[in-house]
Amino acid sequence: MAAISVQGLTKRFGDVLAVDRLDFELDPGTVTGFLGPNGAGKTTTLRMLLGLVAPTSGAATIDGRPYRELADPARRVGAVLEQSGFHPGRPARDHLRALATAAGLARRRVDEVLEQTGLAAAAGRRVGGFSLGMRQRLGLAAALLGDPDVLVLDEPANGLDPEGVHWLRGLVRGLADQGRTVLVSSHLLAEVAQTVDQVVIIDRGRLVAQSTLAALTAGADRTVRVRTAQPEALRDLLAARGATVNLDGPDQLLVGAVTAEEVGQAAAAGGVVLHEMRFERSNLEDVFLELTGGKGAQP
Amino acid sequence: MTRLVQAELLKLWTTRTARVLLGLAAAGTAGLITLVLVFAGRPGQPTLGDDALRQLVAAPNGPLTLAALVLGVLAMAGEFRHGTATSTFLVTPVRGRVVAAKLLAAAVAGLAIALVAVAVVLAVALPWLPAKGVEVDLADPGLAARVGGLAAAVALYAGLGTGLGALFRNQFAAVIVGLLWWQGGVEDLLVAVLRRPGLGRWLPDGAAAALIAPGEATLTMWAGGLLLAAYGLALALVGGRLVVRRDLS
Repeated sequence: MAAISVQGLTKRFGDVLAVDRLDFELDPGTVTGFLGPNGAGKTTTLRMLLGLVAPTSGAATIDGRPYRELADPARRVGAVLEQSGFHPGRPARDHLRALATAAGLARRRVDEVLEQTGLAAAAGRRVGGFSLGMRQRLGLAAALLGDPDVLVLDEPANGLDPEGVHWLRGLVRGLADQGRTVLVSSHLLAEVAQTVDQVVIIDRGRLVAQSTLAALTAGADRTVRVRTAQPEALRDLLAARGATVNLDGPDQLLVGAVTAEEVGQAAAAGGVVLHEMRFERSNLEDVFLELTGGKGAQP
Repeated sequence: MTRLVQAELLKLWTTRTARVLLGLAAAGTAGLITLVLVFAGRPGQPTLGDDALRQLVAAPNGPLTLAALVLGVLAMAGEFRHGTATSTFLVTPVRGRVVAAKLLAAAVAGLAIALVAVAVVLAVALPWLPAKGVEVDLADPGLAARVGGLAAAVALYAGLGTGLGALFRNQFAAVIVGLLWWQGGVEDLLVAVLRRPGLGRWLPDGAAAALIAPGEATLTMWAGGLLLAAYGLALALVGGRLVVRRDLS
Protein backbone atom coordinates (compact mmCIF):
# COMPACT_ATOMS: atom_id res chain seq x y z
CA MET A 1 0.00 0.00 0.00
CA ALA A 2 1.13 3.52 -0.70
CA ALA A 3 2.45 5.33 2.37
CA ILE A 4 0.88 8.55 1.15
CA SER A 5 -1.91 8.70 -1.37
CA VAL A 6 -3.61 11.77 -2.79
CA GLN A 7 -6.67 11.22 -4.98
CA GLY A 8 -8.55 13.94 -6.80
CA LEU A 9 -7.64 16.31 -3.96
CA THR A 10 -9.28 19.70 -4.41
CA LYS A 11 -9.51 22.78 -2.21
CA ARG A 12 -11.37 25.92 -2.99
CA PHE A 13 -11.04 29.02 -0.81
CA GLY A 14 -13.88 31.24 -1.98
CA ASP A 15 -13.09 32.05 -5.60
CA VAL A 16 -9.57 30.69 -5.43
CA LEU A 17 -8.94 27.13 -6.49
CA ALA A 18 -5.87 26.42 -4.35
CA VAL A 19 -5.56 22.73 -5.17
CA ASP A 20 -7.11 21.28 -8.30
CA ARG A 21 -7.77 17.53 -8.62
CA LEU A 22 -4.33 16.51 -7.45
CA ASP A 23 -3.29 12.86 -7.71
CA PHE A 24 -0.08 11.19 -6.58
CA GLU A 25 1.09 8.21 -4.56
CA LEU A 26 4.29 7.75 -2.61
CA ASP A 27 5.69 4.32 -1.80
CA PRO A 28 6.95 3.54 1.70
CA GLY A 29 10.63 4.37 2.18
CA THR A 30 10.84 6.94 -0.59
CA VAL A 31 12.12 10.49 -0.21
CA THR A 32 10.08 12.86 -2.32
CA GLY A 33 10.57 16.52 -3.07
CA PHE A 34 7.25 18.35 -3.28
CA LEU A 35 8.00 21.28 -5.51
CA GLY A 36 6.29 24.27 -6.96
CA PRO A 37 6.54 28.05 -6.98
CA ASN A 38 5.27 30.01 -4.00
CA GLY A 39 1.49 29.92 -4.00
CA ALA A 40 1.29 26.71 -6.03
CA GLY A 41 -0.77 24.98 -3.34
CA LYS A 42 1.95 22.96 -1.60
CA THR A 43 1.14 24.04 1.94
CA THR A 44 -2.61 23.63 1.42
CA THR A 45 -2.02 20.12 0.06
CA LEU A 46 0.14 19.17 3.05
CA ARG A 47 -2.39 20.65 5.48
CA MET A 48 -5.16 18.59 3.88
CA LEU A 49 -2.95 15.50 4.12
CA LEU A 50 -2.53 16.21 7.85
CA GLY A 51 -6.22 16.79 8.60
CA LEU A 52 -5.79 20.50 9.36
CA VAL A 53 -7.70 21.68 6.31
CA ALA A 54 -10.78 19.88 5.03
CA PRO A 55 -10.68 19.09 1.28
CA THR A 56 -13.46 20.50 -0.89
CA SER A 57 -13.42 17.14 -2.64
CA GLY A 58 -11.11 14.18 -3.08
CA ALA A 59 -9.04 12.50 -0.39
CA ALA A 60 -5.59 12.32 1.07
CA THR A 61 -4.60 9.26 3.08
CA ILE A 62 -1.68 7.92 5.05
CA ASP A 63 -1.43 4.12 5.03
CA GLY A 64 -4.87 4.14 3.45
CA ARG A 65 -6.53 6.22 6.15
CA PRO A 66 -7.38 9.89 6.48
CA TYR A 67 -5.11 11.51 9.07
CA ARG A 68 -7.98 12.24 11.43
CA GLU A 69 -8.74 8.52 11.58
CA LEU A 70 -5.21 7.38 12.44
CA ALA A 71 -5.23 5.61 15.79
CA ASP A 72 -1.93 7.02 17.01
CA PRO A 73 -0.97 9.86 14.66
CA ALA A 74 2.15 11.02 16.51
CA ARG A 75 3.71 7.58 16.15
CA ARG A 76 2.80 7.32 12.48
CA VAL A 77 3.45 10.78 11.09
CA GLY A 78 5.72 13.65 12.07
CA ALA A 79 5.20 17.03 10.49
CA VAL A 80 6.90 20.39 10.40
CA LEU A 81 4.64 23.08 9.01
CA GLU A 82 5.51 26.64 8.13
CA GLN A 83 2.98 28.38 10.32
CA SER A 84 3.15 26.09 13.29
CA GLY A 85 4.03 28.31 16.19
CA PHE A 86 5.23 28.21 19.74
CA HIS A 87 4.09 30.02 22.85
CA PRO A 88 6.86 32.59 23.31
CA GLY A 89 6.75 32.29 27.10
CA ARG A 90 7.04 28.51 27.24
CA PRO A 91 10.46 26.85 27.43
CA ALA A 92 11.34 24.50 24.58
CA ARG A 93 11.41 21.39 26.75
CA ASP A 94 7.96 22.15 28.16
CA HIS A 95 6.55 22.61 24.64
CA LEU A 96 7.76 19.11 23.79
CA ARG A 97 6.67 17.67 27.15
CA ALA A 98 3.10 18.87 26.59
CA LEU A 99 3.02 17.25 23.14
CA ALA A 100 4.57 14.03 24.44
CA THR A 101 2.06 13.90 27.29
CA ALA A 102 -0.89 14.39 24.94
CA ALA A 103 0.46 11.69 22.63
CA GLY A 104 1.16 9.30 25.50
CA LEU A 105 4.88 9.12 24.69
CA ALA A 106 7.66 8.34 27.15
CA ARG A 107 9.26 11.40 28.70
CA ARG A 108 12.75 10.31 27.70
CA ARG A 109 11.74 10.92 24.07
CA VAL A 110 11.75 14.65 24.83
CA ASP A 111 15.42 14.60 25.79
CA GLU A 112 16.26 12.30 22.89
CA VAL A 113 14.78 14.59 20.24
CA LEU A 114 16.32 17.66 21.90
CA GLU A 115 19.68 15.92 21.59
CA GLN A 116 18.95 14.82 18.02
CA THR A 117 18.14 18.35 16.88
CA GLY A 118 21.00 20.01 18.74
CA LEU A 119 18.74 21.88 21.15
CA ALA A 120 19.69 20.15 24.39
CA ALA A 121 21.64 23.16 25.66
CA ALA A 122 18.75 25.56 24.92
CA ALA A 123 15.96 23.29 26.19
CA GLY A 124 15.24 25.31 29.32
CA ARG A 125 15.02 28.64 27.51
CA ARG A 126 11.76 30.32 26.50
CA VAL A 127 11.02 29.94 22.81
CA GLY A 128 10.41 33.69 22.49
CA GLY A 129 14.18 34.18 22.49
CA PHE A 130 14.84 31.56 19.82
CA SER A 131 16.17 32.39 16.36
CA LEU A 132 14.24 31.27 13.30
CA GLY A 133 16.70 28.42 12.85
CA MET A 134 16.22 27.23 16.43
CA ARG A 135 12.46 27.33 15.95
CA GLN A 136 12.82 25.15 12.87
CA ARG A 137 14.90 22.72 14.91
CA LEU A 138 12.25 22.72 17.65
CA GLY A 139 9.59 22.04 15.03
CA LEU A 140 11.64 19.10 13.80
CA ALA A 141 12.12 17.88 17.35
CA ALA A 142 8.33 17.88 17.81
CA ALA A 143 7.90 15.98 14.55
CA LEU A 144 10.38 13.32 15.65
CA LEU A 145 8.87 12.82 19.13
CA GLY A 146 6.80 9.78 18.17
CA ASP A 147 9.61 8.23 16.08
CA PRO A 148 7.25 8.18 13.07
CA ASP A 149 7.63 6.25 9.81
CA VAL A 150 6.32 9.11 7.73
CA LEU A 151 7.71 12.65 7.81
CA VAL A 152 6.07 15.65 6.19
CA LEU A 153 8.28 18.73 6.07
CA ASP A 154 6.99 22.02 4.69
CA GLU A 155 9.86 24.26 3.58
CA PRO A 156 12.05 23.08 6.45
CA ALA A 157 15.10 24.97 5.22
CA ASN A 158 13.40 28.37 5.53
CA GLY A 159 15.23 30.49 8.04
CA LEU A 160 18.19 28.16 8.38
CA ASP A 161 21.69 29.48 7.78
CA PRO A 162 24.00 27.54 5.43
CA GLU A 163 25.28 25.43 8.30
CA GLY A 164 21.69 24.70 9.32
CA VAL A 165 20.75 23.72 5.76
CA HIS A 166 23.69 21.35 5.69
CA TRP A 167 22.64 19.86 9.03
CA LEU A 168 19.05 19.52 7.84
CA ARG A 169 20.14 17.74 4.69
CA GLY A 170 22.16 15.27 6.75
CA LEU A 171 19.25 14.72 9.13
CA VAL A 172 16.74 14.11 6.32
CA ARG A 173 19.16 11.75 4.58
CA GLY A 174 19.70 9.88 7.84
CA LEU A 175 15.95 9.53 8.39
CA ALA A 176 15.52 8.33 4.82
CA ASP A 177 18.32 5.79 5.24
CA GLN A 178 16.38 4.33 8.17
CA GLY A 179 13.63 3.49 5.68
CA ARG A 180 11.22 6.26 6.55
CA THR A 181 8.97 7.89 4.00
CA VAL A 182 9.80 11.57 3.66
CA LEU A 183 7.82 14.23 1.81
CA VAL A 184 9.65 17.55 1.80
CA SER A 185 8.30 20.63 0.11
CA SER A 186 10.35 23.46 -1.34
CA HIS A 187 10.08 26.21 -3.87
CA LEU A 188 13.72 25.64 -4.78
CA LEU A 189 14.62 22.51 -6.68
CA ALA A 190 18.33 22.79 -5.93
CA GLU A 191 17.58 22.81 -2.21
CA VAL A 192 16.21 19.26 -2.26
CA ALA A 193 17.93 17.87 -5.36
CA GLN A 194 20.71 16.30 -3.31
CA THR A 195 18.35 14.61 -0.88
CA VAL A 196 15.36 13.24 -2.76
CA ASP A 197 14.74 10.15 -4.91
CA GLN A 198 11.82 11.61 -6.76
CA VAL A 199 9.87 14.79 -7.18
CA VAL A 200 6.23 15.76 -7.34
CA ILE A 201 5.88 19.15 -9.02
CA ILE A 202 2.72 21.21 -8.85
CA ASP A 203 1.80 24.60 -10.23
CA ARG A 204 -1.39 26.57 -9.71
CA GLY A 205 -2.80 23.66 -7.74
CA ARG A 206 -2.28 21.08 -10.47
CA LEU A 207 0.12 18.20 -10.84
CA VAL A 208 2.81 19.05 -13.39
CA ALA A 209 5.12 16.08 -13.02
CA GLN A 210 5.89 13.13 -10.80
CA SER A 211 9.13 11.41 -11.66
CA THR A 212 12.58 10.50 -10.49
CA LEU A 213 15.16 13.25 -10.62
CA ALA A 214 17.09 11.40 -13.33
CA ALA A 215 14.03 11.02 -15.53
CA LEU A 216 13.19 14.66 -15.04
CA THR A 217 16.43 15.86 -16.57
CA ALA A 218 16.83 13.03 -19.08
CA GLY A 219 14.62 14.74 -21.59
CA ALA A 220 16.45 18.00 -21.35
CA ASP A 221 19.79 18.73 -22.94
CA ARG A 222 22.41 18.64 -20.30
CA THR A 223 25.07 21.16 -20.99
CA VAL A 224 28.60 20.23 -19.95
CA ARG A 225 31.07 22.95 -19.16
CA VAL A 226 34.64 22.00 -20.08
CA ARG A 227 37.81 23.88 -19.22
CA THR A 228 40.85 23.02 -21.26
CA ALA A 229 44.10 24.56 -22.53
CA GLN A 230 43.18 23.51 -26.10
CA PRO A 231 39.60 24.71 -26.57
CA GLU A 232 39.74 24.94 -30.37
CA ALA A 233 41.09 21.41 -30.78
CA LEU A 234 38.42 19.97 -28.47
CA ARG A 235 35.72 21.97 -30.20
CA ASP A 236 36.59 20.40 -33.53
CA LEU A 237 36.74 16.89 -32.04
CA LEU A 238 33.33 17.28 -30.39
CA ALA A 239 31.72 18.89 -33.39
CA ALA A 240 32.77 15.85 -35.39
CA ARG A 241 30.75 13.72 -32.95
CA GLY A 242 27.67 15.84 -33.48
CA ALA A 243 27.89 17.93 -30.34
CA THR A 244 26.81 21.54 -30.16
CA VAL A 245 29.82 23.48 -28.96
CA ASN A 246 30.21 27.08 -27.96
CA LEU A 247 33.33 28.83 -26.80
CA ASP A 248 32.78 30.57 -23.51
CA GLY A 249 35.81 32.58 -22.53
CA PRO A 250 39.43 31.84 -23.49
CA ASP A 251 39.64 28.33 -22.05
CA GLN A 252 36.06 27.12 -21.68
CA LEU A 253 33.53 25.30 -23.86
CA LEU A 254 29.83 24.76 -23.37
CA VAL A 255 28.99 21.39 -24.87
CA GLY A 256 25.49 20.12 -25.56
CA ALA A 257 23.78 17.14 -27.21
CA VAL A 258 26.42 14.63 -26.07
CA THR A 259 27.01 12.93 -22.73
CA ALA A 260 29.85 13.75 -20.37
CA GLU A 261 31.32 10.31 -21.16
CA GLU A 262 31.49 11.16 -24.85
CA VAL A 263 33.25 14.43 -24.09
CA GLY A 264 35.83 12.53 -22.06
CA GLN A 265 36.31 9.94 -24.78
CA ALA A 266 36.74 12.59 -27.46
CA ALA A 267 39.32 14.42 -25.34
CA ALA A 268 41.25 11.23 -24.62
CA ALA A 269 41.21 10.15 -28.26
CA GLY A 270 42.50 13.54 -29.40
CA GLY A 271 45.07 13.87 -26.63
CA VAL A 272 43.42 17.02 -25.23
CA VAL A 273 44.11 17.76 -21.57
CA LEU A 274 40.98 18.63 -19.56
CA HIS A 275 41.26 20.85 -16.49
CA GLU A 276 37.65 20.70 -15.44
CA MET A 277 34.39 19.21 -16.60
CA ARG A 278 31.01 19.66 -14.94
CA PHE A 279 27.31 19.83 -15.61
CA GLU A 280 25.79 23.22 -15.70
CA ARG A 281 23.66 23.09 -12.56
CA SER A 282 21.19 25.58 -13.85
CA ASN A 283 19.79 22.92 -16.13
CA LEU A 284 17.78 21.30 -13.41
CA GLU A 285 16.36 24.69 -12.53
CA ASP A 286 15.60 25.27 -16.22
CA VAL A 287 13.48 22.13 -16.29
CA PHE A 288 11.71 23.26 -13.14
CA LEU A 289 11.07 26.72 -14.53
CA GLU A 290 9.85 25.29 -17.80
CA LEU A 291 7.41 22.94 -16.04
CA THR A 292 6.07 25.60 -13.72
CA GLY A 293 5.67 28.28 -16.33
CA GLY A 294 8.89 30.05 -15.38
CA LYS A 295 7.48 32.22 -12.66
CA GLY A 296 7.90 32.54 -8.98
CA ALA A 297 10.87 30.23 -8.63
CA GLN A 298 13.14 32.90 -7.29
CA PRO A 299 14.00 32.61 -3.61
CA MET B 1 -8.70 11.85 28.05
CA THR B 2 -6.65 11.88 31.27
CA ARG B 3 -3.40 12.40 29.39
CA LEU B 4 -4.96 15.20 27.33
CA VAL B 5 -6.08 16.98 30.50
CA GLN B 6 -2.60 16.48 31.94
CA ALA B 7 -1.09 17.96 28.79
CA GLU B 8 -3.41 20.97 28.99
CA LEU B 9 -2.56 21.55 32.66
CA LEU B 10 1.12 21.33 31.78
CA LYS B 11 0.60 23.92 29.04
CA LEU B 12 -1.15 26.25 31.47
CA TRP B 13 1.48 25.88 34.15
CA THR B 14 4.48 26.32 31.84
CA THR B 15 3.63 29.83 30.69
CA ARG B 16 4.16 32.83 32.88
CA THR B 17 0.58 34.02 32.40
CA ALA B 18 -1.00 31.32 34.53
CA ARG B 19 1.52 31.73 37.33
CA VAL B 20 1.14 35.52 37.23
CA LEU B 21 -2.66 35.20 37.38
CA LEU B 22 -2.41 32.81 40.31
CA GLY B 23 0.05 35.15 42.05
CA LEU B 24 -2.19 38.15 41.41
CA ALA B 25 -5.22 36.27 42.74
CA ALA B 26 -3.32 35.36 45.92
CA ALA B 27 -1.82 38.83 46.42
CA GLY B 28 -5.11 40.57 45.58
CA THR B 29 -6.97 38.38 48.03
CA ALA B 30 -4.43 39.09 50.78
CA GLY B 31 -4.69 42.84 50.11
CA LEU B 32 -8.48 42.84 50.04
CA ILE B 33 -8.85 40.86 53.25
CA THR B 34 -6.26 43.04 54.97
CA LEU B 35 -8.14 46.20 53.96
CA VAL B 36 -11.49 44.82 55.11
CA LEU B 37 -10.05 43.81 58.47
CA VAL B 38 -8.20 47.10 58.98
CA PHE B 39 -11.24 49.23 58.31
CA ALA B 40 -13.91 46.99 59.85
CA GLY B 41 -15.71 48.62 62.73
CA ARG B 42 -14.50 52.14 61.96
CA PRO B 43 -17.15 54.83 61.50
CA GLY B 44 -19.09 54.25 58.29
CA GLN B 45 -17.66 50.75 57.82
CA PRO B 46 -19.47 47.47 58.51
CA THR B 47 -18.72 45.77 61.75
CA LEU B 48 -17.63 42.16 61.96
CA GLY B 49 -20.23 39.70 63.16
CA ASP B 50 -19.99 36.03 63.95
CA ASP B 51 -20.38 35.21 60.25
CA ALA B 52 -17.31 37.33 59.43
CA LEU B 53 -15.23 34.42 58.13
CA ARG B 54 -18.01 33.32 55.77
CA GLN B 55 -18.18 36.79 54.31
CA LEU B 56 -14.42 37.14 54.07
CA VAL B 57 -14.11 33.86 52.16
CA ALA B 58 -16.61 35.02 49.57
CA ALA B 59 -15.28 38.59 49.42
CA PRO B 60 -12.67 38.14 46.65
CA ASN B 61 -15.11 36.36 44.30
CA GLY B 62 -15.00 39.19 41.72
CA PRO B 63 -11.27 39.23 40.98
CA LEU B 64 -11.08 35.44 41.27
CA THR B 65 -13.82 34.72 38.75
CA LEU B 66 -12.26 37.30 36.43
CA ALA B 67 -8.81 35.67 36.70
CA ALA B 68 -10.35 32.27 36.01
CA LEU B 69 -12.28 33.59 33.03
CA VAL B 70 -9.11 35.09 31.52
CA LEU B 71 -7.19 31.88 32.14
CA GLY B 72 -9.92 29.85 30.42
CA VAL B 73 -9.92 32.19 27.42
CA LEU B 74 -6.13 32.03 27.11
CA ALA B 75 -6.08 28.23 27.32
CA MET B 76 -8.22 28.00 24.20
CA ALA B 77 -7.71 31.18 22.18
CA GLY B 78 -3.96 31.25 22.97
CA GLU B 79 -3.56 28.19 20.75
CA PHE B 80 -4.73 30.25 17.80
CA ARG B 81 -2.92 33.41 18.86
CA HIS B 82 0.45 31.66 18.96
CA GLY B 83 -0.15 29.08 16.24
CA THR B 84 0.32 26.17 18.63
CA ALA B 85 -3.08 24.84 17.52
CA THR B 86 -1.31 23.21 14.58
CA SER B 87 0.94 20.99 16.68
CA THR B 88 -1.86 20.36 19.18
CA PHE B 89 -4.23 19.14 16.48
CA LEU B 90 -1.50 17.12 14.77
CA VAL B 91 -1.12 15.10 17.96
CA THR B 92 -4.89 14.99 18.63
CA PRO B 93 -6.68 15.32 15.29
CA VAL B 94 -10.09 14.72 16.87
CA ARG B 95 -10.36 18.34 17.94
CA GLY B 96 -13.46 17.94 20.08
CA ARG B 97 -11.33 15.94 22.52
CA VAL B 98 -8.91 18.86 22.80
CA VAL B 99 -11.74 21.29 23.57
CA ALA B 100 -13.15 18.92 26.20
CA ALA B 101 -9.70 18.47 27.77
CA LYS B 102 -9.21 22.23 27.88
CA LEU B 103 -12.58 22.68 29.54
CA LEU B 104 -11.66 20.19 32.25
CA ALA B 105 -8.13 21.57 32.67
CA ALA B 106 -9.47 25.13 32.99
CA ALA B 107 -11.93 23.98 35.65
CA VAL B 108 -9.12 22.28 37.58
CA ALA B 109 -7.01 25.44 37.30
CA GLY B 110 -9.97 27.53 38.48
CA LEU B 111 -10.41 25.23 41.44
CA ALA B 112 -6.73 25.64 42.27
CA ILE B 113 -7.02 29.44 42.12
CA ALA B 114 -10.05 29.38 44.44
CA LEU B 115 -8.39 27.05 46.94
CA VAL B 116 -5.19 29.13 47.03
CA ALA B 117 -7.34 32.22 47.65
CA VAL B 118 -9.26 30.51 50.46
CA ALA B 119 -5.96 29.48 52.04
CA VAL B 120 -4.80 33.10 51.85
CA VAL B 121 -8.05 34.34 53.43
CA LEU B 122 -7.66 31.87 56.30
CA ALA B 123 -3.97 32.69 56.72
CA VAL B 124 -4.71 36.42 57.04
CA ALA B 125 -8.02 36.26 58.92
CA LEU B 126 -7.57 33.42 61.40
CA PRO B 127 -4.90 35.09 63.55
CA TRP B 128 -6.57 38.48 63.19
CA LEU B 129 -10.24 37.86 63.92
CA PRO B 130 -9.87 36.88 67.61
CA ALA B 131 -8.00 40.17 68.13
CA LYS B 132 -11.05 41.93 66.73
CA GLY B 133 -13.23 40.10 69.18
CA VAL B 134 -14.79 37.75 66.66
CA GLU B 135 -15.15 34.11 67.54
CA VAL B 136 -13.98 31.79 64.76
CA ASP B 137 -15.69 28.47 64.14
CA LEU B 138 -13.98 26.44 61.41
CA ALA B 139 -16.56 23.65 61.78
CA ASP B 140 -19.33 26.04 60.73
CA PRO B 141 -21.25 24.24 57.94
CA GLY B 142 -22.13 27.63 56.47
CA LEU B 143 -18.39 28.27 56.00
CA ALA B 144 -17.88 24.99 54.18
CA ALA B 145 -20.81 25.79 51.89
CA ARG B 146 -19.34 29.21 51.13
CA VAL B 147 -15.92 27.72 50.30
CA GLY B 148 -17.52 25.08 48.09
CA GLY B 149 -19.69 27.66 46.36
CA LEU B 150 -16.75 29.97 45.69
CA ALA B 151 -14.59 27.12 44.37
CA ALA B 152 -17.39 25.93 42.08
CA ALA B 153 -18.08 29.44 40.79
CA VAL B 154 -14.41 30.13 40.02
CA ALA B 155 -13.95 26.73 38.34
CA LEU B 156 -17.09 27.20 36.26
CA TYR B 157 -16.00 30.70 35.20
CA ALA B 158 -12.77 29.18 33.88
CA GLY B 159 -14.95 26.84 31.82
CA LEU B 160 -17.00 29.79 30.57
CA GLY B 161 -13.72 31.40 29.49
CA THR B 162 -12.73 28.31 27.54
CA GLY B 163 -16.10 28.35 25.80
CA LEU B 164 -15.67 32.04 24.94
CA GLY B 165 -12.16 31.34 23.67
CA ALA B 166 -13.46 28.60 21.38
CA LEU B 167 -16.28 30.81 20.15
CA PHE B 168 -14.10 33.80 19.29
CA ARG B 169 -10.67 32.19 18.78
CA ASN B 170 -9.29 35.73 19.23
CA GLN B 171 -8.18 36.03 22.84
CA PHE B 172 -8.51 39.80 22.90
CA ALA B 173 -12.11 39.71 21.64
CA ALA B 174 -12.99 36.88 24.00
CA VAL B 175 -11.56 38.69 27.04
CA ILE B 176 -13.35 41.92 26.08
CA VAL B 177 -16.67 40.13 25.71
CA GLY B 178 -16.08 38.33 28.99
CA LEU B 179 -15.23 41.62 30.73
CA LEU B 180 -18.26 43.41 29.33
CA TRP B 181 -20.51 40.64 30.49
CA TRP B 182 -18.79 40.17 33.80
CA GLN B 183 -18.35 43.80 34.76
CA GLY B 184 -20.21 45.81 32.15
CA GLY B 185 -23.55 45.12 33.66
CA VAL B 186 -24.94 43.40 30.56
CA GLU B 187 -27.20 41.31 32.73
CA ASP B 188 -28.52 44.30 34.68
CA LEU B 189 -29.19 46.04 31.40
CA LEU B 190 -31.04 43.01 30.02
CA VAL B 191 -33.18 42.78 33.13
CA ALA B 192 -33.96 46.51 32.97
CA VAL B 193 -34.72 46.58 29.25
CA LEU B 194 -36.91 43.50 29.38
CA ARG B 195 -38.55 44.70 32.64
CA ARG B 196 -38.24 41.25 34.08
CA PRO B 197 -36.75 41.58 37.56
CA GLY B 198 -36.96 37.81 38.01
CA LEU B 199 -34.80 37.14 34.96
CA GLY B 200 -31.50 38.07 36.62
CA ARG B 201 -31.10 34.91 38.60
CA TRP B 202 -31.30 32.81 35.43
CA LEU B 203 -28.42 34.62 33.73
CA PRO B 204 -24.78 33.52 34.22
CA ASP B 205 -23.83 36.13 36.82
CA GLY B 206 -27.11 35.53 38.61
CA ALA B 207 -26.40 31.81 38.64
CA ALA B 208 -22.92 32.51 40.00
CA ALA B 209 -24.46 34.66 42.74
CA ALA B 210 -26.37 31.61 43.92
CA LEU B 211 -23.02 29.92 44.50
CA ILE B 212 -21.17 32.86 46.00
CA ALA B 213 -23.82 34.60 48.07
CA PRO B 214 -26.98 32.53 48.16
CA GLY B 215 -30.02 34.36 49.44
CA GLU B 216 -33.68 35.04 48.94
CA ALA B 217 -33.32 36.43 45.42
CA THR B 218 -31.06 33.69 44.06
CA LEU B 219 -31.57 30.12 42.98
CA THR B 220 -30.40 27.39 45.32
CA MET B 221 -26.68 26.62 45.24
CA TRP B 222 -27.16 23.39 43.33
CA ALA B 223 -29.46 24.92 40.76
CA GLY B 224 -27.14 27.91 40.31
CA GLY B 225 -24.11 25.66 39.90
CA LEU B 226 -25.82 23.43 37.35
CA LEU B 227 -27.11 26.44 35.43
CA LEU B 228 -23.66 28.05 35.31
CA ALA B 229 -22.17 24.74 34.17
CA ALA B 230 -24.85 24.53 31.48
CA TYR B 231 -23.91 28.00 30.21
CA GLY B 232 -20.26 26.96 30.04
CA LEU B 233 -21.08 23.72 28.25
CA ALA B 234 -23.36 25.44 25.77
CA LEU B 235 -20.66 28.00 24.91
CA ALA B 236 -18.07 25.23 24.60
CA LEU B 237 -20.35 23.15 22.38
CA VAL B 238 -21.07 26.01 19.99
CA GLY B 239 -17.46 27.23 20.07
CA GLY B 240 -16.08 23.71 19.90
CA ARG B 241 -18.11 23.04 16.79
CA LEU B 242 -16.45 26.02 15.13
CA VAL B 243 -13.00 24.89 16.27
CA VAL B 244 -13.64 21.42 14.88
CA ARG B 245 -14.94 22.59 11.53
CA ARG B 246 -12.69 25.49 10.65
CA ASP B 247 -9.67 25.03 8.45
CA LEU B 248 -6.37 25.61 10.15
CA SER B 249 -4.42 27.33 7.43
